[in-house]
Amino acid sequence: MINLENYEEYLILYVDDELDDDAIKALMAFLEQHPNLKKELELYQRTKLPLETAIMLSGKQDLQKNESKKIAIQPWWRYYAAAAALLLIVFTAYKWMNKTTDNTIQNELDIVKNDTANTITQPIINEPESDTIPKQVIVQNTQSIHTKPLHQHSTSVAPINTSQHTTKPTKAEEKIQSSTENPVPENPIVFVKEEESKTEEVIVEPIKNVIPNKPLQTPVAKEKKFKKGLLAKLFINAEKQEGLEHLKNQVEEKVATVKSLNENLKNTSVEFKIGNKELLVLNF
Amino acid sequence: MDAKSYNTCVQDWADALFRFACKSTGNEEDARDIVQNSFETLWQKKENVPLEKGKSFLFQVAYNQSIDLYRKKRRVHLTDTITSQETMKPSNPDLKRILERALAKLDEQARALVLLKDYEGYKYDEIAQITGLSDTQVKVYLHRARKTMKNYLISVERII
Repeated sequence: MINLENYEEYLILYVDDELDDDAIKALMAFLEQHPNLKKELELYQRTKLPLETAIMLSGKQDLQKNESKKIAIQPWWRYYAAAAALLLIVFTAYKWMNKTTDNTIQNELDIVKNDTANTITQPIINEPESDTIPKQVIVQNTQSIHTKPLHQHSTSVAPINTSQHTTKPTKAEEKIQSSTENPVPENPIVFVKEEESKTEEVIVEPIKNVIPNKPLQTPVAKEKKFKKGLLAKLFINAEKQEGLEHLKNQVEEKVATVKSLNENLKNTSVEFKIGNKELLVLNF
Repeated sequence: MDAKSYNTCVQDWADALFRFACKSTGNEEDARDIVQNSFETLWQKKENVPLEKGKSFLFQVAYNQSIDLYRKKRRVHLTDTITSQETMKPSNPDLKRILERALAKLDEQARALVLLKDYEGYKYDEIAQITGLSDTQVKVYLHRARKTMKNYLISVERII
């Protein structure tokens, strides 16, 4: 309801074009009742600013942008791409290095296997026709093994569990070591028996039966023990220890053989008789 | 909004925005800066502004910048530095200048509201969205501005 207290508000709303049709009709009716207020309406209408279309911005084309559809790569994409490329390079280098290391280890392990296989298969005890040739063979074998320094195979080998290979040498092994420390063994146990077999066939047979077609390998066992001691200091990958375990088993077999031989020696005796008269009895 | 739509906004609203900035700041150089900053802001945020909201976005940015400029300067002079040609009503050759002086009597906020209302024809609610005011505040501020300008016109006519 328009009255003399709120008519001014309606006049301004009318000038601002904020009245609906019904409100405009009501205002017009009120002004018809109060014609002196029409001049006030005209004053409010004069406060409305005229549109100045002549004011224009010069050089507005400089505000426009290029409409070409080039996709700009955000800077952060570049960082991700660089990081991915770097990771790929590092991963490739790591794989290549591992492959090279594996090949090197495999080659060195093969060399070690071949060396030990050659030392095992080489006959150490020759025919008993001559007693000097076996000695020379042993010496040569020993030297052939020692001429190949083990440090040549220690470049890229993982450390080996030394606890598996450090064993206290038995008495038989100590005898073997002491017998082979000299460049030429003075009286190898083997040859003493072989010589006596020429005169006392009964005595030699137990020894032959104990070691059927198996060459005595006292120097080899010593050489293997020497090699095993060096291998313990090498860096050998755990995965590559299978060959070494095989070697270890073979060495242990030979040691057991020597031990059994030693036991047989203890139960052996030599008797010299002329007729029924005993001249000399040697007990071992 | 893509680049093409942005260029459309430049063609359609650059002059109006410049007019608003000129009347609001009273300085043509300041008005150019405001217009350039407003369009630059629109270009940076064009992905989030649809074409139909482009005009209101531009005037909102221009309004805020004019208010900030007024607060920095603390004084606005409506001078005769606007060099472009202006149309004048033959029956009231001095009315324009009187209105300009009346507009200068207002504070920056009221002046901007009057310009948005008279130059661009925005409704109260649209002005409220642009300026961040409520509908009631827009109505009250505009009413005060109209009364101030009317009283100034009365005082001038009495003198004349």
